[in-house]
Amino acid sequence: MKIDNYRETLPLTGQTVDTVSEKTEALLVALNTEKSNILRIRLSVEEALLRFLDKFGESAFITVNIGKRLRRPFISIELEGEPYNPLASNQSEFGDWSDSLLSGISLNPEYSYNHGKNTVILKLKQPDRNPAISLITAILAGMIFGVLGKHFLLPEMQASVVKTILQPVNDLFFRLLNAVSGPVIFLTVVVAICGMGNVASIGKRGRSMVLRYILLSFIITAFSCLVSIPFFRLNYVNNPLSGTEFSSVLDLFLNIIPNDIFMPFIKGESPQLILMAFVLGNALLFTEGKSEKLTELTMQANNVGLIVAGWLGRLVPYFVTLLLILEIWIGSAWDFVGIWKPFLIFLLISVVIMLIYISYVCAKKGIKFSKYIKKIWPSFKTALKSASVEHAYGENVLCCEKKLGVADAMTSSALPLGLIMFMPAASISMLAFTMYAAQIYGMSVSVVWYIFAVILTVIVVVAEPPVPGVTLLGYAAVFSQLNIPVKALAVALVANTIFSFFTSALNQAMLQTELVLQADKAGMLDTEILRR
Amino acid sequence: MEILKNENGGTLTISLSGRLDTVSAPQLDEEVKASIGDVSELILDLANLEYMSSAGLRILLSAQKTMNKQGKMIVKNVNSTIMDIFEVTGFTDILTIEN
Repeated sequence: MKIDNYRETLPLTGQTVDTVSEKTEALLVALNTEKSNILRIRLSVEEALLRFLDKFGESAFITVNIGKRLRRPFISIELEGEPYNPLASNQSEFGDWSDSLLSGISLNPEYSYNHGKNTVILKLKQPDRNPAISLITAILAGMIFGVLGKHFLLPEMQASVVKTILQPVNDLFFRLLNAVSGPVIFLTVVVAICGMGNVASIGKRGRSMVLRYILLSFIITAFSCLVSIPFFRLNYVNNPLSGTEFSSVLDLFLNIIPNDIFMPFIKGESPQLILMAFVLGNALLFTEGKSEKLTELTMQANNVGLIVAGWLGRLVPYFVTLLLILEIWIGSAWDFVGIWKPFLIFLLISVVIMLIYISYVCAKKGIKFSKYIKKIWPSFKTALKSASVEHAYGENVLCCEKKLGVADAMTSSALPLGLIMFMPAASISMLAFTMYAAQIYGMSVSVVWYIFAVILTVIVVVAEPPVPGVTLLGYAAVFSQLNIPVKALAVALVANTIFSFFTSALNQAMLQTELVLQADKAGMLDTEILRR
Repeated sequence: MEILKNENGGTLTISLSGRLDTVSAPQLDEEVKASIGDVSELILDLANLEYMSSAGLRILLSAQKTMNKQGKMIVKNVNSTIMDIFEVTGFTDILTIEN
């Protein structure tokens, strides 16, 4: 879309504030910005200008610049005079209600003072498409082209397309996925542990928060595993009490320790990689100051890894289409039809756990269940519609602080951490699909297999890079460890696309509820706001 | 913006229609400050208000602070456009809103 740049120097009056506000709205509408975000940005711009007006009066002039620079939309306001930052908190007698308007949607306006000029600049995000749209389009396109091709193309032609195009592309994609998953997971964990230094710095509460997230994820996933077992026809090797089984469990844990530091990368042994990452991350934290260059190098390598993972994530919708066509033409589409089963099991278990969670909080804090649901519904709906917690982040923060009464000091640390470390619905969905894959490929399972599956799904979900669309890296890591054939990734790709809408929304609702409990425990919960 | 006032005993009702922007906000500010001296209940009827700017929010906040000392303030008939503004700014927690 074309956006005309606007630049004008105007006297600082009420009329100017309204003009700039309208120009801002016009830019945001052109960028397809969400309605509530338009309000946030517009009110923030107005408030910054009003603060300038309070300080300098109507004799001042401002230069307004609205448009795009290097393809990035921005709004800038310049005013000549003594240094004054209108973005600083408590600058106004009217309180600080506007201070969190932009941080709530991950926008950070910048203030600078150079050559006698106050400058406030707000860089906006590039308009991005809802990821859900491309995923749904990919599934529909795959189904339509698959069915049409199956009926209208000659079998010889189908076989030729499969052999020369679809199968090689399919193999290439999964080889890429396997190659990238190990190093990306390794680097993500190292960087996450280095970053956890910040959490540790907020003391005991930060550390117990991390432990609580991980412990709860294990408990919820193990419970889901037990509940799911009767629903899958798995070939169970029944010797749970024998010495062999016990030694297998022991072996399982002993095998996590690698023989050398290269083999886990070569073989893609994700538990060993995660252990190595854990050790390296802690070593870097411990030697803080003495290993700055190595830490920086790891961070840069992680950035590169995230970019590559992001590229793979962008390719996912195209591969969903190609894989669906391939599976329909080679007659394996029935594996896809069966997705309803792990999907239903995941959905039922996750919803029940979420409702138990919410009921517990409601009973504990004396709030009506229906009222609580009403409070979290808008952010739940946004995550559900976009299949992304990132898209719903602003509403999530708003919900936690303004509706659930969680103190912003708690939200600012526990919420971003929880988005990475507390994803029970994602673990449940991965486990349910792994059990389904074990069923369709006739795998033999045992107690050890289930324990390993639970541990792997939890740690892999936590260790996955926070890049939209790359959950498949986690599936690749889990399948390779549980000896599930690589071709199951094709079904996982489609299943994950469907699951992702619900995992995002359910993870978010459970995290919000968990935050209420943590805030209550830490004395950082405003019960009046929660009950209101 | 149009401002209609109706005083009944200690209750003052102010009905707003149109746009409460930065240009029109001082007019409302003056009206409110001039009228709420002896009022124990201030009712703001926003049924026909189309937009509320940051300057308008400041007036509401200032009126709320004054009324906290001498009585109560109720904001009523808030349409969805204005409610969205109250929600993103957290004014739903500050004001007493009745619909």
